[in-house]
Amino acid sequence: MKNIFLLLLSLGLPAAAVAAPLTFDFKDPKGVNNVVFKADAPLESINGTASGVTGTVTFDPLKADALKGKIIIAAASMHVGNPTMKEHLHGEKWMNVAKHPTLTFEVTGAESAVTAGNSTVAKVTGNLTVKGVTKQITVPVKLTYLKDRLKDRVPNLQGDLLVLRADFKIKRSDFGINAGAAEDKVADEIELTLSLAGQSPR
Amino acid sequence: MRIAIRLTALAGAVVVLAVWFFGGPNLGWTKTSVPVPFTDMVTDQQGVRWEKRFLPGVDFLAAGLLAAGLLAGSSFLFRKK
Repeated sequence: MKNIFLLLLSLGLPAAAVAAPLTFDFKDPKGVNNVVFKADAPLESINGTASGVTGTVTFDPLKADALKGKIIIAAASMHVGNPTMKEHLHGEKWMNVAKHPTLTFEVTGAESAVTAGNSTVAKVTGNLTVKGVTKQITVPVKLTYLKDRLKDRVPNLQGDLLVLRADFKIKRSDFGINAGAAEDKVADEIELTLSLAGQSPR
Repeated sequence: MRIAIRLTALAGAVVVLAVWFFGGPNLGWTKTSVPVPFTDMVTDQQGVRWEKRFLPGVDFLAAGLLAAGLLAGSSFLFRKK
């Protein structure tokens, strides 16, 4: 009887472990996580990155639609190659990082999830807060679930990785980023490319 | 004096042009850091590392040539000997 119980337990536990939603921490000690932003401008497009990424995302490999979580980006981590441009970017008219130190994207739901192998493509809806203005947006997101690959990144640490990739555009006028001004110098539309990896240690 | 100022201005313009040309030549704005992309082997993510490097742009070129032009122009303030 005891053996049957142990057998059932051994069969049941891994199944339960796989079925449970996993929470991934997106704080990246490797410094790889980044958000690339690009805006058209007359002389050359303005390209920069933001690397101060934190937040957690709950992902169930068997139920990708149940995606939840929040990604936070430190506004002060936004960087462009030209120092004067960076000063303007962080300044009151543009991102006002002193008053609005973070940009957040809170996932409220996902739909049309299609999984092939370890990758899932879904339309993710969430609230994007930039410069204190919150807008609901839906963006196409590619999620790559790397089971048991955490040890390859952090030795002696067992767990999984989740890579989140998204490309989408926002309008700076929607978020009050120097709205209605200097559109001949910097385009209203800003292209964002997210490449983030989170870890879920066991 | 006039010749000396003009030669200095010419030398300055050549130096500015050489710094700009051999530094890039970058047709954008001057940068003090440049993005260096890299790939994370585990996650296959494209990361970006900013490397401190002076990359002169067209503003550097324009300011340098303008300064050289002004210096050459100032030579006319001196009388011919």
